[in-house]
Amino acid sequence: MKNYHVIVNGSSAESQIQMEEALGFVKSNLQTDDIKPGNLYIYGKDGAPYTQEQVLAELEKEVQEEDLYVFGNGEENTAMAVRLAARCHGSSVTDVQAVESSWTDSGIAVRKMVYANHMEALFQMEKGPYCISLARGMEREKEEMAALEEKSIICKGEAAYIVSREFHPKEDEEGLEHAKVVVAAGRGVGKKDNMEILDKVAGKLGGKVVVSRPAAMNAWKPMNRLIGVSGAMISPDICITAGVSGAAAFYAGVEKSKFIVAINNDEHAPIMKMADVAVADDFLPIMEELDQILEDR
Amino acid sequence: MKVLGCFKIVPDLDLVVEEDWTEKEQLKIDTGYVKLVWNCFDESALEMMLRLSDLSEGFDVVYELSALTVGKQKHESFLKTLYALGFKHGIRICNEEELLFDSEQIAEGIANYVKTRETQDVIVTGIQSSDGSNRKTPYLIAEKLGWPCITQVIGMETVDEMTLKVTCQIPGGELTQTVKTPCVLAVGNASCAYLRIPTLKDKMKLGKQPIEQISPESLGMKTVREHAKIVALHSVERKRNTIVISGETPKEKAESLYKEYLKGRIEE
Repeated sequence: MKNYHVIVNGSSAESQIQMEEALGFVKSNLQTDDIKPGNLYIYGKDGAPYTQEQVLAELEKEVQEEDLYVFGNGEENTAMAVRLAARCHGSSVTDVQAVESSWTDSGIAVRKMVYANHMEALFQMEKGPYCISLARGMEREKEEMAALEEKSIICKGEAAYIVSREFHPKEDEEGLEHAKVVVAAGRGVGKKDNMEILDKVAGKLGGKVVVSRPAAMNAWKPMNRLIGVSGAMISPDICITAGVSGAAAFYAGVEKSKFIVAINNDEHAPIMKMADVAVADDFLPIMEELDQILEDR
Repeated sequence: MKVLGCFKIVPDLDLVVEEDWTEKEQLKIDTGYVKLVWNCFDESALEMMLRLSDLSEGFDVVYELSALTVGKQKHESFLKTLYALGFKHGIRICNEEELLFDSEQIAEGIANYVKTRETQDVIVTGIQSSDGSNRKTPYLIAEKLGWPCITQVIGMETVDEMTLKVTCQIPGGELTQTVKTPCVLAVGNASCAYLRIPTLKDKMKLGKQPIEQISPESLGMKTVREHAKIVALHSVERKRNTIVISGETPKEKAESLYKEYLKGRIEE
């Protein structure tokens, strides 16, 4: 019988969320007869900031050739999944959304997004150990999965290549994930000065301004307001996009919004078909009018 | 200190027409008609290398910057731009077919280049490419070379000839570490996003240096097997039943938007 295992970084600020998302993934993908729960490996629970190399050295000793190892999302988890498979001569796929079929004669098949979120691909993992990292935004499962046996990973010694380390906590955009209303700015906003009106409207709606990758790259807002596959994934009640074209990498970040309004002067922009309501006009006069309406109410 | 920047030239996926994002039996999308761009994370990595070199004055450290891509003849113009910006070596592993889901092969080529052709102290590359979206190459390079790897890198600073100060994003904040070389750095959402543009003078003076061309066979790339293979490619339906707001003026449209669609939802 094959087993699946979950690996969580206990020292991470996200460890609880990572665990819940991993358990959610397990619940919806791995409750089949051909696979049994194995271990829940937690490293850094003592607060130790281990390097990837330290943890990999310990995990390597535990690996069973035909088992599945599930890492959470984010870059560190991704790197660990890829590197563990490489060390153990197995196969890895990152950003996995679902398991299509497990343990056929030719391995495990999993689904993930490719082409910057434009297409979905099915990958056949042909050789164990099978190491995957998860896509962002899995359904969370809060209940303890008693079936998994918790095992702490303790690493000995120091990482020889680290001379010194300093952690600088950054104010997390906590509100972002819980914001009921967001106003999203895209490349079409044109310049930083134009962000002011978006800030005003968002303020009056009790919401937050977020940005697409091109807008973040122009520093119209800090990086922690970036939305999309490489930024935050949000699910507000209302998402108003201004000057956003609707690139798939951005859309993934707002896909779960209950109601999407697109304002774009190009009526053929992809976002105009992916929104619930579209306004084909320059965002600036529309936002100015909207600001006035909100002022007068 | 020798620093190698590995980059990929990718089609600008925003320009691919909607009809082309459909089910493909050949397991890839025809992107041949759209313009080519630097893969965004790799572009940050290359600019970060230039800034590291710019700011090293007074530190008694000399950076020797090289850039390598696995790609087609037509990608060489990008290497020429890097020459004009001050890179000392431009290398192309000559691969005329499109490599999309072949991280093992690419990592093998880069690792073998460093092992057998020109040793390096640091390898810098983006965390993933837009087209393949594999997110594997930097980590596989680290494993093939047996080097440590730091991911989500957003900054590099000079310390001395043997060490670098590297800042990376981790949940809850930023981690700044002084690390000994060799190491692999995978660049993420850095704020230096765009590569600078060379002057015409530098283009004329430096842009014409010869590009080193290496065959993938000589780096052992063609014998590598991918253990995870793509077997199907599907389109994703994202359309909503969009209602287009009509109106003569922005004022009418904004009023309609507010009254009919926003007001009720805000008051809920």
